[in-house]
Amino acid sequence: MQKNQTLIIPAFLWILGIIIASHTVLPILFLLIVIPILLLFSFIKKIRFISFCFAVIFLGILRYDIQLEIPQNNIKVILEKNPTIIQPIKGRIISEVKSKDGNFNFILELHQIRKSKVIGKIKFYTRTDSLNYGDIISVIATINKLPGSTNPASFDYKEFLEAKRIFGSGWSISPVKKIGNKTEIFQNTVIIIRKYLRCRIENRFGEYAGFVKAIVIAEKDEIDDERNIMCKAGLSHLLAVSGLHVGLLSLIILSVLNIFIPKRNISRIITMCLLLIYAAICLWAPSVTRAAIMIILFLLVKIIQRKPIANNILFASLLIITAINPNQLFSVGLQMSYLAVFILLNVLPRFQFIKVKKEELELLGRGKHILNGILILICTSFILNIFLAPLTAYNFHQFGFNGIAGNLLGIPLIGMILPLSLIIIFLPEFFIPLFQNSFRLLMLIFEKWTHISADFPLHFDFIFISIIHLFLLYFILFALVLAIKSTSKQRKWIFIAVIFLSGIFISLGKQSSNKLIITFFDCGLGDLALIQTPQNETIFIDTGPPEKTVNSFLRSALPYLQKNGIKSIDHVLITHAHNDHYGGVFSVFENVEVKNLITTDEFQNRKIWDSITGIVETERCSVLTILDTTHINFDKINFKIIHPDRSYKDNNINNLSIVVRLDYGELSVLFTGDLEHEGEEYLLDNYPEFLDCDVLKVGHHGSKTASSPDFIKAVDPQYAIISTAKKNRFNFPHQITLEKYEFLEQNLMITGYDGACQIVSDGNSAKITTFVSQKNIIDSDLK
Amino acid sequence: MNILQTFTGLFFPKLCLNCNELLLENEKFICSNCSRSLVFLEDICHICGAPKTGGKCKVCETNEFLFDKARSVFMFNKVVQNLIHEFKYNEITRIAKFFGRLSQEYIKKYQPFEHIDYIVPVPLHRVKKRSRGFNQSEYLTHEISRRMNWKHLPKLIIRKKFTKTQTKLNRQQRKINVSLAFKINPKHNIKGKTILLVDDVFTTGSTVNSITAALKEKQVNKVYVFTIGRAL
Repeated sequence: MQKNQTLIIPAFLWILGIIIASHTVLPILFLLIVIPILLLFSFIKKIRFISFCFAVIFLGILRYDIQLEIPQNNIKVILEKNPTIIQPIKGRIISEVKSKDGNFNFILELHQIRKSKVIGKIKFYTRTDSLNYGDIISVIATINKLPGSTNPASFDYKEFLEAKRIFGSGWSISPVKKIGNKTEIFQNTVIIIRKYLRCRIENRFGEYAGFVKAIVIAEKDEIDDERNIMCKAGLSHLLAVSGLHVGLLSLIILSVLNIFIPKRNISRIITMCLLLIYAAICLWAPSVTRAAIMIILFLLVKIIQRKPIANNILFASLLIITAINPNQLFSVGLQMSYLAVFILLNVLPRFQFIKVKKEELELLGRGKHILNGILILICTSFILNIFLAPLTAYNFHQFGFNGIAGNLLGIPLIGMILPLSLIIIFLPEFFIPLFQNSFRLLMLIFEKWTHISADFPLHFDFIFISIIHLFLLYFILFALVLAIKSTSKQRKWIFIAVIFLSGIFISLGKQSSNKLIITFFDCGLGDLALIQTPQNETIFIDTGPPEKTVNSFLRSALPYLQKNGIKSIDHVLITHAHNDHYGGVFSVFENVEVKNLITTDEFQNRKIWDSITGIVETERCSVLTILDTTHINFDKINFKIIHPDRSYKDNNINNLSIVVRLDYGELSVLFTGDLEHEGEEYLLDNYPEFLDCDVLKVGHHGSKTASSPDFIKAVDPQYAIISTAKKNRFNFPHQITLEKYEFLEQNLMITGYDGACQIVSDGNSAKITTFVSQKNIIDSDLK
Repeated sequence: MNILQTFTGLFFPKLCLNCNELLLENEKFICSNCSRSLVFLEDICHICGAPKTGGKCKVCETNEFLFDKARSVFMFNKVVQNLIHEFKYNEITRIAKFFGRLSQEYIKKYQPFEHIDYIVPVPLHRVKKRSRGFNQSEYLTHEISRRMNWKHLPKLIIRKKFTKTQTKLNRQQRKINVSLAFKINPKHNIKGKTILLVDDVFTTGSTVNSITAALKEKQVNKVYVFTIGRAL
């Protein structure tokens, strides 16, 4: 580390402070006393450095703790006391009003609930139109606590909003009345520009509007499909408005301004202001803010005529961003963005020896600049890809190196597409057709290229690494980088350290848990359960409702599979032909490999089977048809299918549900699908000896048509799980059913209320946890 | 005040303009280590200011210099080169103050010019000036005229031809490049005056020579040339 990078140590200490604060709470009063004392100490020469260091750490802790202090009349505190409030409220709209499916949504800054003063922001939804930024409104509304994610590992909307300090969501239940208007000039300008840009983009770019919105104003709502492909192609960084974009933009602004303004400093100050506005237009997305602040600082250095030190500027911007909102430090976007730039500034220069020799370049003549450029681009994206891979693997359970090739054409293409889209946005209508064709051509090439690079075989998903793995990987990587420019003696030690660390890394590798894990996901109204056997075999019992529903397979189970590195499913069992049970099967086939599909013969006579059978053939999955009771053995696990048997006949599809009994040591679980009274009776008459068990997946989502008293008596469960959504058109679970299971008390779990429910067992004991209500039931003796 | 300075020093540290090391409190512009290479150019040809090579000056022999005297403060070594680079291309224009101080010291010490009526910068073409944002020679003449109390005429000479940048040309090409590129502003009456021409670096002398030719046409008394660096 060079001496002139004065900010590195303070920045690291500050970050350390914030991280410490996020794990422990220190009283603010204590900090307020300690920090001035430490700062005073730093005037004494001998202990200057150490006391300064501690002062910075404590400052970091203080900054984080201050934002945790929330006054008593904040909506967060109020919602903690009563999760649902239905009251007349007053507040001011502080964001753009967006419309979606006939509803309007915006961020509301609360002023009053009934008569008492309240502060804090909520996300608000209404059907009243003609609302605008700055309006002060009065309305009767329901305010709810933010819904957290109800399944393990899935996207948490609550966390997402809370990072923006939004603590509730509201719905208007009366027409909204405007009672005033108060706008701030800056925010207002930003919203007007954003609206204007969005409008222009939609008018002028047609089918590519979504893409252009993403790269110009960081609005990524409309490009979910593209994002997936770009991600596979290793080009998703091009979709984020990042350093490349902001740098290009400020270069354009500066050179245009320099033509008209002779004084450089004036054009620099104007550029700085415009960059701030631009960052605000992009809603302060981390990568934009980072890039904008870095360029602003760079221009500031130029104005005060000091020499710019890249690392200092990087860390200064990090300090500024985390001082404004310390929570940003934990956002993945920010981490990726800073890591990438840090690598560019510090690791890449160490690799200079890769450059081609001068004499060799001379031979190439004119092509040398191109060749040199290509080599630098390859090296850069190779190193960046390697260094970012652990972080993406940890956060997104995937990583890839397709970008190394993808960037070769991707970056130059974006470098042309971005200025071209700016031209098309800002030029008068008359000139537009001139550029539209070239834009379309570039986009065609770009799309083609992303598809090509997405097909390269260097993308890996369903990767699981723990936080220890993550840190080990970074230690190893940075040690290797250190080895490049060190003496041979140092190098020896570094290699020993690397081998040692790699040893730890490998020994920490995934071992089979030797436990049975059953997860009942909260998939809304439907059934979706995953069984992981001690030998790491996987079985799905039903696949949840179709893709479009809120908590379908894609949003509930898939994140869990990705996080746990489950790429292939050994058996997918579909109990019966209702789409809240088979609806997710298409998504399952699309995202993971399925080895066997288990259904009844009755299901295979349905119309829907035609569309499934096609996929089954292309995916080379074998189909097991259940014609009669049978059993499948998974080592120590006994998997009995006790219904429907060959002689059972019924017109009610629910009663043709496959019923599974699973035994592992002392633990037994009964999955009853949607079995109703008739089916239950048939089981009681024919297979009573298989009914008694510990855990019951209650039939038919807790409907009154299932769970007859005799059946419950015969099963005699210790635990029961009802798989249903909170609110649904059938009003599941029915009150009468709940009463029947009342004897279980805490041991009755409803996925819609308790969230996903997981049973972990070694055959003798079991632990049952729920994801939302945080139940944690330990049954140490199943006998 | 001190605390504020430490704080800005943390964000934007004061660095040596040559070697990027942190500057100590008593150092300005460059560190004491680098300032060791800044020694006044001595033992020179009293006409063209080039370092003496024994006997007759070979530089004067091979060139037909039209000016009466040329002086440079330093040899154009690595440090001076870096400083001038920072000055011209990274827009650290406060270096002009540093050079101004050193020029004053040099002129006071050696007294090379008996009398100066006007001090004049070597001009940039207006397109070039716009693209760079400033004329580095003008900053220098401004500083020197302020310190020496000489009259400053920044707009006396006008560059009418847009010439290619000199740095990549050889001696012959430079000569052709700059010949007839300059015009004297008729507003000023310079007949019989002594003029000091200031530039950042003296390389082959073709630029100042060409300006001298234009000046001598207007019957000036004497033309002196003063530069910071002397490349040879």
